[in-house]
Amino acid sequence: MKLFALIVPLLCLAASPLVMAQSNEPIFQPSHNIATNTPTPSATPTAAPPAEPLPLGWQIAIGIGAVLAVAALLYGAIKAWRHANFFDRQYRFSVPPSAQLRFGGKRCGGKMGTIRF
Amino acid sequence: MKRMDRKYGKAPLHTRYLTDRAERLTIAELKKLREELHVFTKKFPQLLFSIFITELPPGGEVTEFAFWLANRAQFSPVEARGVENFDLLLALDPATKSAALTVGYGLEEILCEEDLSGALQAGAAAWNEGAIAAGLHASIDWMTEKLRELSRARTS
Repeated sequence: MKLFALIVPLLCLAASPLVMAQSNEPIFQPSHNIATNTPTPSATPTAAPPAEPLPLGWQIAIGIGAVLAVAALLYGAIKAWRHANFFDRQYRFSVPPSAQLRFGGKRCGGKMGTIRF
Repeated sequence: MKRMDRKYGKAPLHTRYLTDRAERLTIAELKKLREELHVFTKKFPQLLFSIFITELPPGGEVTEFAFWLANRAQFSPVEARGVENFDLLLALDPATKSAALTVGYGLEEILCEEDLSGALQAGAAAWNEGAIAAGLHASIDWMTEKLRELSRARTS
């Protein structure tokens, strides 16, 4: 009931300006004469010829072109995304304390996998 | 090493990620593989995965060549020796149909020989059919996944 009592006066207030603005007379009257339209010679209006629709071949070509452009854009974006490695984390390994250098190799000691295919 | 120096001569010209002296890859394949190896380095900033494709001289062994090249050619822009070296080098000879994957001292505790062979096995089927690039992609993917798995296991 309290809610109803609150809503009804609010609705009345909201509607009151509309009621007051129902007069037929405009509030502001122009103080000068309003220019009327200059009579023009009765020339027969020339209607523009209706535009011819694009041939079906052109429509298909434009459609294919648009699809190709979007595909190229998508391909480039995926490539850039992959290249940037945005959300893939980086992996690091701890450096081992020491290694026995073998066979005179200063970088690699000959640990390897091998295959014949 | 000196014996191998006599056998293979001076270290051949090479690039950081991928060298194709056997000319088995197209320009597009080279570009794509280099991009993939670059992404690998972004994932594993300490590591450098290099691939060297060549036709070995008569009497050459891919395992011996991989060991010699890993020590004689500097693939990383920073000179890393001993335990500081985290390089991976895949040497592949399409003529003798053999490949070897070797690692620097820094990775010896992390990757076992089965892991290295596993990466090569991943590419073997494609290499056998002459699809060198496809096999290399498979090897890189396999190694990426293995290193991720090993890194997670070590940190957890």
